Amino acid sequence: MTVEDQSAAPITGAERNMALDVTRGFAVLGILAANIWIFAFPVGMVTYPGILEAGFGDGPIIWIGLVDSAMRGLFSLLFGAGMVIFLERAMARDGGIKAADLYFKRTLWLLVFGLINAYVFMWLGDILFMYASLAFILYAMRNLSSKWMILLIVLMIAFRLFHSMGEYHQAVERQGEIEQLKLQKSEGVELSKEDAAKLKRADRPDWNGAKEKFFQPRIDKVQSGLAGTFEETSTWAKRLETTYFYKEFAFDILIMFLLGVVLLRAGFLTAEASMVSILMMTAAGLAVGGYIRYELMMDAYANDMGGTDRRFWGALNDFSRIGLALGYLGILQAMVKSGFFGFIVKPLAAVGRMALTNYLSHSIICAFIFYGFGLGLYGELRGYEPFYIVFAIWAFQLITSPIWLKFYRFGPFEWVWRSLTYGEKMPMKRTAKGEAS
Amino acid sequence: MSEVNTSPVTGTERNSALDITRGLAVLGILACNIWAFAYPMGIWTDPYLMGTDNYQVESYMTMMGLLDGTQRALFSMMFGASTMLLMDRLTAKNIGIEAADIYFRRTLFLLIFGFVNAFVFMWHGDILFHYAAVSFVVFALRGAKDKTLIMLIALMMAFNGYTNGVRYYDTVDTKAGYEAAMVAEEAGEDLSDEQKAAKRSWLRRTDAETAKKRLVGEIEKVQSGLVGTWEVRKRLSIIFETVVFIPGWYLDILIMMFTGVILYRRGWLTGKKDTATLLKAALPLIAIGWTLRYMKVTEIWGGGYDPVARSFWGWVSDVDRMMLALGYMALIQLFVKSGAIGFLQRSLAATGRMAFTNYLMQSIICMIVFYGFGFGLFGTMMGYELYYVVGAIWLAELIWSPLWLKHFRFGPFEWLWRSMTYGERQPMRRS
Repeated sequence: MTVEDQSAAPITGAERNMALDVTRGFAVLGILAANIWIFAFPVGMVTYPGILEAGFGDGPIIWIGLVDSAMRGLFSLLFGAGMVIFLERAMARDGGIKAADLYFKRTLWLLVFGLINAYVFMWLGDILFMYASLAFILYAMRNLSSKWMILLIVLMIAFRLFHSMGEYHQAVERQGEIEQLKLQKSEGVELSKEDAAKLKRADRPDWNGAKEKFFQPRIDKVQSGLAGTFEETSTWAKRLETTYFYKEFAFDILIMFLLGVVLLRAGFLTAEASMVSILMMTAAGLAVGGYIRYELMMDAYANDMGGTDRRFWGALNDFSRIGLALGYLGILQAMVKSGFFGFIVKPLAAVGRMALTNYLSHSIICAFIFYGFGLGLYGELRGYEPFYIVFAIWAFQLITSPIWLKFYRFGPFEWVWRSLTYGEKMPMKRTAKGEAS
Repeated sequence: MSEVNTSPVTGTERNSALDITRGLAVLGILACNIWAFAYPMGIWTDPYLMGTDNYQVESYMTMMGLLDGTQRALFSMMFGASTMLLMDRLTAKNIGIEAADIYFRRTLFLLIFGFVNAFVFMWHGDILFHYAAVSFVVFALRGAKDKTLIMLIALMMAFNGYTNGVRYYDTVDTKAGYEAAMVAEEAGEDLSDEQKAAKRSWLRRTDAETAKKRLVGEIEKVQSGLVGTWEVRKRLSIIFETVVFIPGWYLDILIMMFTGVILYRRGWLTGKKDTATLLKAALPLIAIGWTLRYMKVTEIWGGGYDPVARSFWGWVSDVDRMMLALGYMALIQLFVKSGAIGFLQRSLAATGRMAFTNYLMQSIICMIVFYGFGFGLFGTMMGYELYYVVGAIWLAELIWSPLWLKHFRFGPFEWLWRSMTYGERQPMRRS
């Protein structure tokens, strides 16, 4: 999703900004490495405590360490920046209210794409619906100065930190209470009915037990065929688009939208910032994000995904995801700016230029691979196998995207999106000269 | 370059038929909302929970029959129409994209007002948040032809019809499953997992004892003071802004806003239809609407609470609601056209011109009247007594609105909203 194309009227390939496209390409591939764990397993199964002991493998720990929410962050960041670029170009070409009309037509169709992604392609983790729902806030705030935007970002982070720290402390308290009750019980103290119930509730099965009890029925449902898959995925998609969106993702995305605009203005998305400042941003981002995620991972290894310390590092997630996102962003910008990495930068840019197509085809490909009506690998994979599938899809998209763009001006879904936005069929094929007139 | 006038509209530009309709809608909405201000949400499905003395159930059924949903529908229609009016006026000023910027700054602050209404004034039934969240859809489609809008309305209603139909059949199945489970239990057989689930699910919907316990607990909590009230209402506000909103009110509001846009364009809201046309529209719509509503409330609550009937009429509700809302709208236009009771019309127009203030004031007043840290009447009044409160608030708003507008150009919350939108203090006093 994202902004495959930022102009209000069709523009030439040369105008596109390589650095933006490369970053977007990286983000759309990276987001698959995160989403694969939701494509392939019931929500909660691979983060349920005890994966190491059960021999599942540490893939999920690598996921929560390196990828989780950082890639979505990068993706959101580029979407926010892309929407603003779209609007600026529309202003320059069409001027006036027409630019706003295009912006919101585009947004409305994105909402429709999001619904299709969630309920036709059956991808429960769709983000397009949320981007579209929040686009008007970005629009209303786009002319704020960077100072104001940073202030709002800080406020949102503070609000979330207050909440997540509160939850962490509650978890610690609960844990302490349970320990206390366990101790009393072992000493032969008669527990009150309430306390006994509390203790019983806290007594959760191990990973294999939980899998049988909680997750296997859901796996069976998805494996049973189209109707079962739809029932399971649509239930979760609704949950994500309502409660999760409201409580979790709205600020998660808005923070990145605004940060994207700030970074765009400062030249950090278009490789216009100086190499020194890019490298400084990279170092700072990786240091902060890396440190928090390192502690998070070490705790996950030590306590096998259990324990309450992980919640502390998880409560700092805004710092770690933003840190990592800025770190990855800086590396990509530096690569583009240096000019040495053409072999990887060019295919990534092509992936980024048809990001909507590539994002949506993740859903289509994964539905075929995992769900019961396809190859039915849902719930079956172990160890690093999900990553192998990710690598295969990456390779596929890194190869097909440049080839497609050799013949066509836009990715297929980009073309549909544009045509719907402008209300007319857009030219698709490249002419002999390489560009349409 | 000459100064472009982007300043807000003043008194003379306003259209009084629109204002009077909006005024009536904002007053009417209180007559529905009062039940949710004054009682726990449980009575919304089962009014018997508050007992049957003093025509408690009958007064609830009367509200459900005559008003429920129709006033919110009217309010949404007026919001859709106002959006058109606002955009027409802004684009006529030739200020380019600034027109859209004003619209969306306005929307953003509306969203914030919605949060304030839901979490500070603790009114979980707030509608402003929802209006703001769907505003961009109305903006994007504001150039769409009537035909397109009608098609979209039909599509959304069809979608509602489908999901509500599924829900109805699910309710029927659950009841059948429960009955089968009861037969099996009587015969001493072990229940299958499915039967157990059906039993659980049915009892959750019908078990009056549990519902009553929850109800009493909620009343105690709201009566306990600020913290208790906030906890109860915060939970509800979040539910209304998430699971109630996205699959439910989102379409509901859009259907009504688009209807308002079409009515506005065709002159139904601006006094351009003659009396005969309005009569021809109002009478059959209201007659059929009331007939359906009569059947609805008697079947659901006539002899105790019947969840199956409720889900059946929930399926039909888009139809009777639309008919009644349109019928009332036509009736209001007739009233405006007749010019009868001129002083009331003027008061209503003033109430409508500061509808935003009056809507928010209802939350503030009811918060003080009902919640524990105020007069604490939550869960203590009889249904018919609620209408003393409604009457008093109506009277207050009908009196203070014209008085206020005599001295000031905007209602206080309108002024605040406008000042935020335009980024500077708006002139307030009439010169």
